[in-house]
Amino acid sequence: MKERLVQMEILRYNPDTDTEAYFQHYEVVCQEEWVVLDALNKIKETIDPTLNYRWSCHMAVCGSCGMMINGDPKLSCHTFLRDYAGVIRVEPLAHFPIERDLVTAPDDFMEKLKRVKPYLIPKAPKPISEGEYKQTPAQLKRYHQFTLCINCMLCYAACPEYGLTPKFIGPAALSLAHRYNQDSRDGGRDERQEIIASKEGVWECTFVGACSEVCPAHVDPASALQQIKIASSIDWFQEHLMPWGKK
Amino acid sequence: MAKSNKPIIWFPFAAGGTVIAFFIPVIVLLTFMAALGYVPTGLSYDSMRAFAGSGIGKLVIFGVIALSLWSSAHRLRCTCYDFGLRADTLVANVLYLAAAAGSIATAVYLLRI
Amino acid sequence: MGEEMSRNLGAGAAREPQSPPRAGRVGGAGPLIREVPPTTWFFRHPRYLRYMAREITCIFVGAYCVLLVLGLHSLAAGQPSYEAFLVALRSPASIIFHLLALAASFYHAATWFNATQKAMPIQLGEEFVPGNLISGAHYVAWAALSIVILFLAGVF
Repeated sequence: MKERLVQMEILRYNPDTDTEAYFQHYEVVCQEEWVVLDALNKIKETIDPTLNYRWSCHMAVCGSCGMMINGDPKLSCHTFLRDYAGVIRVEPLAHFPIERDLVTAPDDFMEKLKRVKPYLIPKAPKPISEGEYKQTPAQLKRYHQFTLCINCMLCYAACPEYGLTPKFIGPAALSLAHRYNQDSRDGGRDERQEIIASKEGVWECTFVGACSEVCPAHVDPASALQQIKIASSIDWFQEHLMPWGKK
Repeated sequence: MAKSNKPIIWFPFAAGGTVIAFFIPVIVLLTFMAALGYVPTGLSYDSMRAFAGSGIGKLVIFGVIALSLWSSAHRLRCTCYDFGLRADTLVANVLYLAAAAGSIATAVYLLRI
Repeated sequence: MGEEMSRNLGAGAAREPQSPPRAGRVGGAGPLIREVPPTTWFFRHPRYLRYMAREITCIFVGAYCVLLVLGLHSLAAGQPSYEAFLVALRSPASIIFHLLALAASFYHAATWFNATQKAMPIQLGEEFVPGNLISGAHYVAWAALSIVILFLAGVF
């Protein structure tokens, strides 16, 4: 197997002693086919046990190893060393508070995710005795891509509007609201609209499209948000100009 | 948190963006030909006067100019914010008023033809 | 007193979920927030520059609309005024402005039509219509409309 000497600049920050973050340089021998996460693990095991970062599955499913790699939000388990030349610069996800080294605090996203009610809200209570909800393949397909979100927050790190206006509910949470709004079993759209059609909701989006470019799960949040804008506009005109159109 | 009234601004912006995409490039092409010295027959005084004199012509001209102005004003508002200008309310008022003034001028000129 | 303490501890824990306050801690700043530079953020990645290029087209399109309003003003004012407007269009500044407006409006049109597939996906039966088909249909309609307008304007 071919080996490769990898040079890395990793952003370090210790909340107990540091007031500023700084880059630390590492040189580590890696295998040609390794990903950035493998290099971090090798550094932690053989060079610097104080390095902190989050990871779990190593297969782009859990969404916990997101970080900025040469300025781009990426899952480090899904980013191959062979695609990079020269020094690889690794930083924690942009737009989130840094807790320690590459570990960021996801609290803001978690709070927003909760706020959009990302779960089925049935139209009417249905006892188990009445049987299961049925859905056609077409009804499933309608929202399926938006179920693939792994909550990795790369889209928040990519979204400049979230960076500039931290109140913005943001791409993943809005896409998940859209996922449930599009579900034939769901009746919670009116409740969610109160949150997502607000000023801090979809209207902070200027359709940069970066969220969809960086999504490792091939969700298209930019598409969801534009669809929400159109649907919310139709709502508004129905509510204000055609009072007979909607109760 | 209440639902936003942003659709009043956004919907004409989206309509205007579509109008710009479909109409403005070819209109620029026509006046560009005039700028290069070759005035298409359709841009002659008599043809333009006849077009702007008709009801449908007035409607098309007003629709294209008013929606394009509004769309550009709204996009410029967002761009100012993206460039770090944080006086968003002031910027919005100035730009939307300018777009409205341009639309009113368009209507006034059209009614004079 | 006990209530007071637990409230303080709670607040501290909320601010620093990973590192609760420790005895003997010196100089620590807690979680670090790196501000986004409000006037230079778009230099961070080419995709932001592409976005800003799209947004900046509005300056040229908006200015061009003002030119149209001025043309309409001269048209309303009578033939001599309109002829003077057409002559004024021939200045070098006007030619350069037209080139910029042409580039901006074409770039706007391309980005707008590319976005239609995201804003208005169409599901026929089970499958979604391929996005390129939706954008492609807009390009075809655009070309057809432009040719009709050029024809009506007597270009050919």
